[in-house]
Formats: sequence, C-alpha cells, structure tokens
Amino acid sequence: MILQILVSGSMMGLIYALVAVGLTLIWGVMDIINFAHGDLMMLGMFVSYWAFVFFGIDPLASIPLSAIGLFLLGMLLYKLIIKRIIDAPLITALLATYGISLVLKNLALLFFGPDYRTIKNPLLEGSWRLGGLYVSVPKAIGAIISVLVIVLIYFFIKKSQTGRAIQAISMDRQAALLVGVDVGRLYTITFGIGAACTGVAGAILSNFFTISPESGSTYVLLSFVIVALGGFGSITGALSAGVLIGIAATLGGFYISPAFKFAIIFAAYLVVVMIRPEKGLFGW
Amino acid sequence: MNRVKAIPKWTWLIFLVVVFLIFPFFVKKEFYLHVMIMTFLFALLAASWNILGGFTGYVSFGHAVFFGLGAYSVAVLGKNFAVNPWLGSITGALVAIGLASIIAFPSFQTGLRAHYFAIATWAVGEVIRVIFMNWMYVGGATGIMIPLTEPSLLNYQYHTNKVPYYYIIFSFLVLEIVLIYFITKSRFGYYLRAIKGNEEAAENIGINTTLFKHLAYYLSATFVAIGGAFYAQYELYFDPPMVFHVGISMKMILPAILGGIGTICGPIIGAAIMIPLDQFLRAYLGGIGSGINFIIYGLLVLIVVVFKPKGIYEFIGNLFKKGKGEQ
Repeated sequence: MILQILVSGSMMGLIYALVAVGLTLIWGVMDIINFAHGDLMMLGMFVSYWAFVFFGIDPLASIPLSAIGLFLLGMLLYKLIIKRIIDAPLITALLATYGISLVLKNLALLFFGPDYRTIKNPLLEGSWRLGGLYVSVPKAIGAIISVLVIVLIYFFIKKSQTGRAIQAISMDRQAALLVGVDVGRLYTITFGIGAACTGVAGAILSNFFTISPESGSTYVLLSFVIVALGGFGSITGALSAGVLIGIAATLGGFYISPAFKFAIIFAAYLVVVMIRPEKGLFGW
Repeated sequence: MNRVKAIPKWTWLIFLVVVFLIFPFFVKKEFYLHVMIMTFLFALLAASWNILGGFTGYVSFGHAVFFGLGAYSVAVLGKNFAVNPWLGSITGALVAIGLASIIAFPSFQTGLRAHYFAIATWAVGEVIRVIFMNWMYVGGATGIMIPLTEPSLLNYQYHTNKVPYYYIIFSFLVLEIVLIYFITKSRFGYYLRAIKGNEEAAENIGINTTLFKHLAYYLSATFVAIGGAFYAQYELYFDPPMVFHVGISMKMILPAILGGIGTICGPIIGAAIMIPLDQFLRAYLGGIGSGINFIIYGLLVLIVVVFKPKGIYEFIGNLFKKGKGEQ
C-alpha cells in the first residue's frame, strides 16, 4: 500500500512541480509573486478542453497548443501590466497579479459558465498493472512529460545564451544592464515561459481532472508552498519539493482524510518555514 | 496660518459625521442601508489590516482568519452556551489575539521575510478554513446560525431592522479611526513607521521592533475579530467560505491599497469606493451569475495599481495642494 501511495503521490508531485517551476522562474528572476498563476493554468485546461470538443484533438496532442497559447498570453500580460509594476513594492505587484487573477477567472466564468467539465474518452485511460501496483496511465504519461519539460527548462536556463542572460539578471540586474543585456526582452520571455509551464500542466491535468473556472484556485497556494520549500528561483528545488508534497498530500489524504489533503501540507509548510525561515527545505 | 487651516479640516470631518448620523432618517431603502453597513464594516477591516500591513509593512494575506474566528466565537458561544454576543465578541477578539500570537512569535522572532510571512499567513487561513469546513461541532460546511433572541442592543441583534446595525458599525468605525489617529500621533506610531522604513536602523537606535510588531498585529487582529462578530450578528447565518475565504482578506487589503497604504484616511476612502461599487455591480449584474462584477472590479484594481500606485488618497491630496498653490 505504501509503495502504491509513493508512486501515485510522486506522479502528482511531478505535475505540481511543473506548475511551481513556472512560478519559481518568475519569482526568482523578476521578484514578482504571480497570483494569477493558477488561473493561467485553468486557461491551459480550457484550451485543451475546447480543442478536444471542437476539433477532437486529444489533450495529449494539444499540449503544444496550450503551451504556445499561454506563452503568448504571458508575454502579453507582461507587456501590458507587469512591465509597469516591476520596480514597485511587493504589495503593488501582488495586487496587480491578483487583479489579473480576478479578471481571468471571471472572464472564464462569463464565457464558459461555472459547470464542471471533464474530457470524455481521451486516448489515455485506465491503468497499468506493474506487479502489485496500479499506475494510472494519464497520470504516468503526465508525470513523464512534466519531467521532460522541467529538464528542458533547466538546460535552457543553464546552457543557452538566453538562459544565461536570464540567470545574470536574476543575480544582478544593474550589472546585467551595464554589459548590455536586454532586460525587458528577457523579462518578457521569462514571464512567457512561466505561463507556458502552466499551459503544459493544464493540458496534462485536463486529462483526468474536472475543468472549471475555479480549477486553478487550489494550485496557487500549493505552488507558493512548493516554491518556498524548494527555495526561490531554484528549479531543482521546486522539482524535489513538488514530489515531496505530492507524496505528502497522497499520504495525508489516505491516512487522515481527503478533505485535509492540502491543509496538512500547508501546516507542514508553516512548520518548515518557522524552523528554516530563509532557506526552505533544500536551499542553503 | 496653521490654526486657520486646522479649523476647516475639523469642521469638514464633523460635517461628514453628522451626515452619516442623519443618513438613516432620510434614506429608508434597505439596500442602501445594507451598502452603507458593508462599507463601514470593510472600512473598519481595511483600517485594521492597515495597522499591520500599512504601518509596519508586514503584509498579511490571512486576515480573514481573524474575521472568521470573531464570527464563529459569537455564533458557537451563543448557540451552544447561550453566551451574550457582546461577551462572545470579546472572546472572539481574545481568540484572534491567541492565534495571532501563535503566528507572530515564530515569524517575528526569526525575522521571517515579508514574502514568507505573507504566504505563511495565507497558509494558516487555509488550514483553519479546512478545519472549520470539517468540524461538525461548529456546523461544518453547512454553516452555523445565530440563535434568535429579542431584538435589543444587549442582545446585539435586530433581525431585519438595519438601522441599529448601521449605528453600531458606524460607532465601531469612528472609535477605531480615533484610536488609530492617536496611535499615529504617539510614539508607538513613529516606531511602527520606523520599522517599515528600515527595520535594522530602527533596531539599532534602540527600538524594540519585535515588541511593536506584536502589538500592531494584535491590535489589528482584535478589530478584525470584532468586525467578524458584527458580521455574524448582522447576517445571523454564515458558513466557512463566507468568513474564511481568501477573498475576504483581499477585500481588506484592496481598499487599503487603493485608498493609500499606511495612511489614516486611505483605507476608508478605498472602502467608500470599492464596497459600494462591488455591492451595486453585484446587485445589478451579479444576478446572472456571470462574474461581470468581478471583471470590472479586477480591471479597476489593475488600473489603480498600475497608474496610481500610491493610492487615491494621495491623488486627492495632490489635487487639494495644487488648488491651494494656485490661490
């Protein structure tokens, strides 16, 4: 049983980690807490849903569509709003993204209605039996894709020219400006990538979760907690914290009560933050 | 010169108070009274949030938790032990201070960064909300009703008559503003602003920053809990999302920011704009269940935050200054 929980928990955790990686990038590079992160993910879910309903595209195939759509939306949001508040105090940036969140969520409510929707008969269904373990196929494929995307982003940031420039501005923006880094362009790209992560995660989750304008709400605080535990701006930290939290949520849901699934994690976060306030679990 | 200027400012305030005092004699429509009551309530809450968030710079996303604790204290004590609601309010305030101290001690003692403090307060709020959702003793997800008693000030309830509620919440608000006014003029107020300006420097010149952060937090939580208790007595029924939802915390933060963070009048001006707007939009558009009201609300937040980041209060203040300069 424990093994089963560990496996399903870490699969969900990898998908949470993908959402959190988007958040941690934006947070680490731009020092902006993106309140609208969950709502961007909700839009990603709807992109997949409508692609499925209207064109019969399987959610798996619409991942690029959702990713590109959210990437563009992220860049647009940066150009329209985030750009103007990038140097404002913490609270201003927070409220701006909260405003974005309100608008996105309720636009979805206006156009799509409050109903809970599910995608019926996607390609990925059922579960594999590995020994005594049941592995849900959509979750397993989703977890694999999440890991691939996270690895891709990791190498993009670490190895590519653009990625190195992004690292540079997150370390010292003034110095980066002095050596001629186009900070505005890189912020746009970073925000776009952060949003694209939620697009991929949304498409994956639309395979097996109910889709509604409220779907993103749970994930905001959850990703905040993952980011804080993993250390701000750390991709590997978000990955490990995501898995840990996925397992903790599944364990708590199983042994205590599904209703307390996330409450347990938030409580655990409080304990960690009190013991290691600045570093989270994995930072040092 | 100064004295001449000071007098009109005070008459202006007294005039406002008188207008609000006679308002219910002229406006009989229940809905308008309801809008006014909600505006006063959220002005009170925003001003309370501002004591911590505005004056010290420690942003809390979890102030709804004190609101909920205030509401639940009155309701549970009234329902299960027939405790008088006023006593319930005081208990609610004490419970709120208790929880605030549980959050404050580790946070302030370890010098938690503002980001972490904000998320921690939100996480506390979520945990408490889930607990109340699943705690059958307090009604769980179905919510809780205040037992009906004879309408009187002692019983703190008037059923459908909104006028007494109007005066009660208005007196709370006036009381709070007066208190905050004296705080900002006092040593305590200067210390709080010193903490916000530069905590390390404040500490170096011998201010016990931790102590004053604690005090600000408890004062803030107390007023929010009293507001929550009022809300319970006013609505007579509520469920956990109505009082614990993060949206309630936001409704305290937004007016403070929109009006002008860290000022006395800011949260009140903010509430005077946001809450009637919210109520009217909800009344005229919300019936469809479309969320158009929230879209407009959200857009307004964006516009103010992007174009007037220091809040409307400063904007109005500048207008006045300009006018005087030209004279």
